[in-house]
Amino acid sequence: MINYDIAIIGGGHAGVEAAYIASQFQNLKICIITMPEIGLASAPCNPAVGGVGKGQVVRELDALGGIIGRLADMSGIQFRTLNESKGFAVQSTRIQIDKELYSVNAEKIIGEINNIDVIREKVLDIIESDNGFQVKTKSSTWNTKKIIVTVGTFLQAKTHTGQTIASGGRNSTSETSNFSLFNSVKLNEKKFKTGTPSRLIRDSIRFEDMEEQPSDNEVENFHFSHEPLSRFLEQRSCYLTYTNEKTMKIIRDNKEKSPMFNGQIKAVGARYCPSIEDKAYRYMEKNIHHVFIEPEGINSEKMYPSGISSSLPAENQLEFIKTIKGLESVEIAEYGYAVEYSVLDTTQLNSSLEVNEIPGLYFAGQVNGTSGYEEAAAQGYIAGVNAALSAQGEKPLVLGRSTSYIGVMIQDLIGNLRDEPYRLFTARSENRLYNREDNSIIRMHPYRKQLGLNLKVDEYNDKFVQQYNLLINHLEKFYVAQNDEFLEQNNIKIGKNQSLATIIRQSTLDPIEVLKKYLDYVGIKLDIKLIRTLAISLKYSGYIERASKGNEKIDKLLNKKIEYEKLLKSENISYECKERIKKIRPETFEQLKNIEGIRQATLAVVASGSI
Amino acid sequence: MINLERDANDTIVACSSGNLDNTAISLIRISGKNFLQKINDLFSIDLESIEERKAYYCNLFYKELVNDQVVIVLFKGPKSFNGEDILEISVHGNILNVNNIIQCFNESGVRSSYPGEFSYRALKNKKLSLTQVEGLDLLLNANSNYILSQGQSLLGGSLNSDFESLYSSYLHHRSCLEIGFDFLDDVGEELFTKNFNESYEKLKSLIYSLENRINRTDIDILDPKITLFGLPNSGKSTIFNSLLSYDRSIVSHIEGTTRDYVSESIMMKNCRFKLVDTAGIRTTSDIIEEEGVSRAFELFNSSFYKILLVDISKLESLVLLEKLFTENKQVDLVIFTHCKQADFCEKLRTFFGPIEPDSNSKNIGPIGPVSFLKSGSIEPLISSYESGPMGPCLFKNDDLLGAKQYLFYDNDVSLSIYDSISDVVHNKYLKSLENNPVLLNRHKQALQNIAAEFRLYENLITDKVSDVSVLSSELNIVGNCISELVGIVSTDDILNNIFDNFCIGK
Repeated sequence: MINYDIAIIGGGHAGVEAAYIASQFQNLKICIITMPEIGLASAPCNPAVGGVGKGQVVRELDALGGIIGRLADMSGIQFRTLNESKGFAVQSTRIQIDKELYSVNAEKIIGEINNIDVIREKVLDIIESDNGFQVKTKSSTWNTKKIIVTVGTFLQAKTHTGQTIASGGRNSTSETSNFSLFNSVKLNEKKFKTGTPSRLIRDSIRFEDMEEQPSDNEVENFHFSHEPLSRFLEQRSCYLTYTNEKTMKIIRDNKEKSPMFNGQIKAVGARYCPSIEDKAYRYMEKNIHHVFIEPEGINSEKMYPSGISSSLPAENQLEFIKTIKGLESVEIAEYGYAVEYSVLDTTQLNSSLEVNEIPGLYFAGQVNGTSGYEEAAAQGYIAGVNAALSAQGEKPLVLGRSTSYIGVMIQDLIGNLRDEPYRLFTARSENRLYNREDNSIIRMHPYRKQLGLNLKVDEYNDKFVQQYNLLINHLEKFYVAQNDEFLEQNNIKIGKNQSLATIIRQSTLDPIEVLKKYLDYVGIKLDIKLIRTLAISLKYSGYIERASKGNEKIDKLLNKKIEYEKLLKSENISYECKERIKKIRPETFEQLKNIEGIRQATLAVVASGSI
Repeated sequence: MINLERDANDTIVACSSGNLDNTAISLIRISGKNFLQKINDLFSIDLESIEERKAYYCNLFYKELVNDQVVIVLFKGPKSFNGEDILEISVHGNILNVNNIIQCFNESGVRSSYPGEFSYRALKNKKLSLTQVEGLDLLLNANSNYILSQGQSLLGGSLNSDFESLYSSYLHHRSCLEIGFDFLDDVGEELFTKNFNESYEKLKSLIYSLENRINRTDIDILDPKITLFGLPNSGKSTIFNSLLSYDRSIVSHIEGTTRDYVSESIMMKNCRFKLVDTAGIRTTSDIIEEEGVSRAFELFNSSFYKILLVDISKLESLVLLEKLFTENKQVDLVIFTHCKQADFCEKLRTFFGPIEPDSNSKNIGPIGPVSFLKSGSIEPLISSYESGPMGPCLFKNDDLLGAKQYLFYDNDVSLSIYDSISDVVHNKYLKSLENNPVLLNRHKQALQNIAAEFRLYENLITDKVSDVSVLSSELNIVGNCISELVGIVSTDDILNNIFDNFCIGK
């Protein structure tokens, strides 16, 4: 019988991330128990890491010592910056990955870590024991102090392709069992659904009829120790094509065959990640939708058509896909399907993603009702790091909502019962001007410091932050003369001698360009990442200050600590509100405010300090 | 220092029916928790055994001070106006009696309440919302039916619907902006731009139209003043008394807030105004004295209706007045007094040039001793002196002190000018309510903040700033201000502000 400090059930993106961070605490023993038929960190849906809001999460994780950025860089075959024209704060990196290599790299990195064991067996049951939990598989029983459940879509899961229903969380895998321990854990009453499109055979596609989107070699890698603009693999292009009237007519004509619309699937999908059926039935007058054709790997014969996920019967899928320009003679490698699965009621979790009533039991990833590899990885990190800290008797790590997207997501998850799959986007953050990709090291540094680790990433972060602090002050104080040749060369006009910082802030200029050129001009060499962070931070500092001033009054209120037990005793709060408060256990006014169905009057009572 | 929160557990007492005059009955209310035992000895019946919501007749006695027959009703919290236990005592409404009774409760450990404290507790106990408290304030202090009905609807719990649509318009614009970066692929640039621009224009017009409804001057429509200005002996007190003697509904004498002037409450067509006689303000040469001037102008600025009195025989004094009343200081009405002198028209003409009748201002009152000559100028008709004050007429030089209307008056010969003046004052009052003005100071302030922040946002749009996260951040600042306006974010500051300015609950 082997004993572990932390056992992780599931080797997906959440599980791998949890194991990777926990293993950095050298004296802990960790195991990942995963299904024998699937490799670690496999990507069953779109072949990309990052995206709007998600790129920020990947960079946050990298600065916190996570693995996802490293894996994405190593298997990246196309790099892009999304929202390039929309301002720095919402620009996000997305990397198309070679799925196979991604998993291979994950296996390799995890395999080389001494204090992680990978057990490839189906878990039969999990029970609570005296000082932790017991995990039973066919061959053995393991005792563990902490347990992190990252079973993705495999909880009571069913896949649908037309009328064909199979049990299991994805094609050709088996359904996860119901564990005894889960009898005392509440599931969300709503089932969720997600879907994936058909995979197309590369050689059957006429790419010349589509718009090519080549890889952008100006996009910086995610991982700190990778040379910012280096590439591990040869780059591939994505292609853009569109649906048309014929495509949509076929989908609309076959509405009764779609499991999502004929009642076969009752679960809810995300409004913001709609299947092509959703788009067809909901927007009757719109026939032109983007379809991105993305390579699944550098040598893969499969292409992923992003934007047309469907659960129609196979023959209908083929029929409508063939109407799309460039796909007229396409062959299908695998048909699309929808997965219907159960998710946890995340309001029973605390900010460590630990079940309130069962200390030591953590849930992370898609099982918590999120969608996306990045969201899963971030939760894996939070569960992993906190299970590790707790195993060592240390205080949990809580990421602030105002300083990280990860903090935003965790708070959203535990603060409210989700009624659709949760995806991060930038609008979820109240502090978007500050929560940017470029300054993720500055933002994460204090959190990473709390772990008390001293690894390569810590060394890098320390140096980066030190240089940043030194330079940002300097740039404010460094004055450029009105007649400086540099200004003339770059056609910059200023009324009087001004600090370099002020020149950078001028709205018409690209701050990074100005700073880069000036440093060249005076002969200073700096890390390109540092230049970006400095320039963009300066550019936004005025707005951030104004925003925080405007938010001050409200923030003061939002951050106000509340004791929910006191609220429960108050005569002035209605029964319904108390029921909700009891469930969510809000720790701050903000959490209370975010609870759905909380009355204005209750907020006014708490805000006025009457309780 | 008053601290409603700190003293929230005190039992408090107040005379709720006002105690400025002797009346038949006054209502005293005591509010708090479990206070019956504390005052039980003062009553001839056992308070702890009475049923709630039933009237009891009993005696109230305390030492030599109080011996009264009263009717009491107990409202047990939380089913009371403010959620606490409330004992209502109807006592005989002699001022002395009421004061003695309150004193006897004070001596039994019941504190006299701070202004607004009953309502504060109602808010605290969720019996009233912020909006309702504001409504209650309006209702209890309304000087006209219009404001009364506004107060009633707020008290009924309905938010000001204009503010509500402002809030939803903001949310709509915000989401149109947000779509721009998270879901641009789904919506497309074209639709995004269209939605963004439409919602922007709508929000903009709402904010600016609300801003226009803010009364920018210091004039308080909730407590409008009619003020009489003029040099000594120009007839201010005469007019003051003349107006009051025709108003039979004077309620009470209001003490002047400074000793410099006298004011009385006066009803004009169902609206209550405060008539102010500035007789006390020293004019002549002393008017240049700094304090006197600033006090006069302060009063001038805050007056709703400004009446300037000019002795027709001392038109030279206008020169002095014109110096004082610069462009921005316009009066509403000039009354020329001492008009029985035969040569007053002559005097007017030498001073102002030709005088023209004004066909538009017929409402100014009985036509007096004038005859319209073919030339359009006016001549006094000596024979009809007795027919009363005269008007309307307009000087060609019509920017005299900015007034648009003039009245000629002589105490010896003129009939009442009450009707004439109440007509013009009431018209102005109705006009000032026409564009549905923002009444409460808190709302005014919040709206001014909103408009100021929105202007900064507007600048970014005008400058074609494409950084949506900057736009969103600036818009969010506007949103915070709007949240404050509608009371979604009721921070301590707002609450304090409200109760600092509260004028109800004696």
